[in-house]
Amino acid sequence: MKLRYGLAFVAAALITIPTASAASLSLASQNLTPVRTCILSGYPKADTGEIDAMVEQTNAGTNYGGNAAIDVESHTTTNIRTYIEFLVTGCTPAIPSTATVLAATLRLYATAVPNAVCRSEDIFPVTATWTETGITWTNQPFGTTLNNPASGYTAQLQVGTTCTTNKAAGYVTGWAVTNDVQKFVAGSATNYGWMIRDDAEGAGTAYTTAYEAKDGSSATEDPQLTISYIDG
Amino acid sequence: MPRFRVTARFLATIALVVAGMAVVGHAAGLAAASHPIGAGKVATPACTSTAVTVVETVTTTYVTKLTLSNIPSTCGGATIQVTMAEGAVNYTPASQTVPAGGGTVTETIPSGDIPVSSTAQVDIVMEGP
Repeated sequence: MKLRYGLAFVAAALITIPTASAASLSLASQNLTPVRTCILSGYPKADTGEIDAMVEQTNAGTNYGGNAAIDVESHTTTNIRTYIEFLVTGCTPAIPSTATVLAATLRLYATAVPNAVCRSEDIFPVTATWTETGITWTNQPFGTTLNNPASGYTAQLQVGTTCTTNKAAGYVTGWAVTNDVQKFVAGSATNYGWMIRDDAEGAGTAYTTAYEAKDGSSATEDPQLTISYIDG
Repeated sequence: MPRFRVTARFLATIALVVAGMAVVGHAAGLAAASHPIGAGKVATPACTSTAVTVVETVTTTYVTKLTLSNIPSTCGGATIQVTMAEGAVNYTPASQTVPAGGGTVTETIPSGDIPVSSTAQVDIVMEGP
């Protein structure tokens, strides 16, 4: 009799076990943080996923698309700007249009930085097409007027021997182009790349940063665009 | 004794009925909540919503190191697993533990394993803490 009596409660207890088990599923969850990063580089030289060229005021009709350096210079009549574009759609796997771009950074390798000064260099999204083998100071999308555009840069970088960072040769910390890349990915803006210029062109003294172009010597110094995102 | 027998059977029957009702009630509760297991969508918590900085170090032709920095302290202690695809070459280093205060995790790539490509994909999953 005691056995029957006990069996009844044992059965009841067994039947209620799944309730406790199901409840514990939600309590056992923990952090899971996935982040995807696509790194685009100017390597190899023949690859068209990245194009770059500087344009030089003193040689206004010359194309420097095959040059080993892409400079940024401020000087009375010898100003230099750099145009650079990465094929963001070249990421594998492709970044979904619904992705959230957490960070996008454009990094260049400086082989020489302005001496005894800390210069600001601005990066602007380009709004018209250009080609690596055709762009010159004369036909560049932003025109030949100095300090154009006057405002609206995406990011600014300090570079020079008196700066806190970016004061010697090496990869600069980079320009944060997150907002631009988010628009490229989402399709709300067309990717024509970026233009980098000194924040104050036309300086009385020449201030030059020499960056390594993709046509430079080695993969260790190629331009890079790093895009971190989460799938939408 | 007969009286006890009846009482014991009665109690046992009551217990089984109660147990059965409990099960019925539990099932009804699942449906009434409109969140049957597997059908609901619940956001998985993450230790950070910001990006981890990923930098490749390369030699002339090979990737030699992967540096993951700016990992926030909220991810300290998490297990970090990296999967890397450099062009057509895939590489999965051993998982590591993020330092207690966050910071930087370095993955050293064996020499000659990963040729440099124009495109690299680095997937990071941090589990925990």
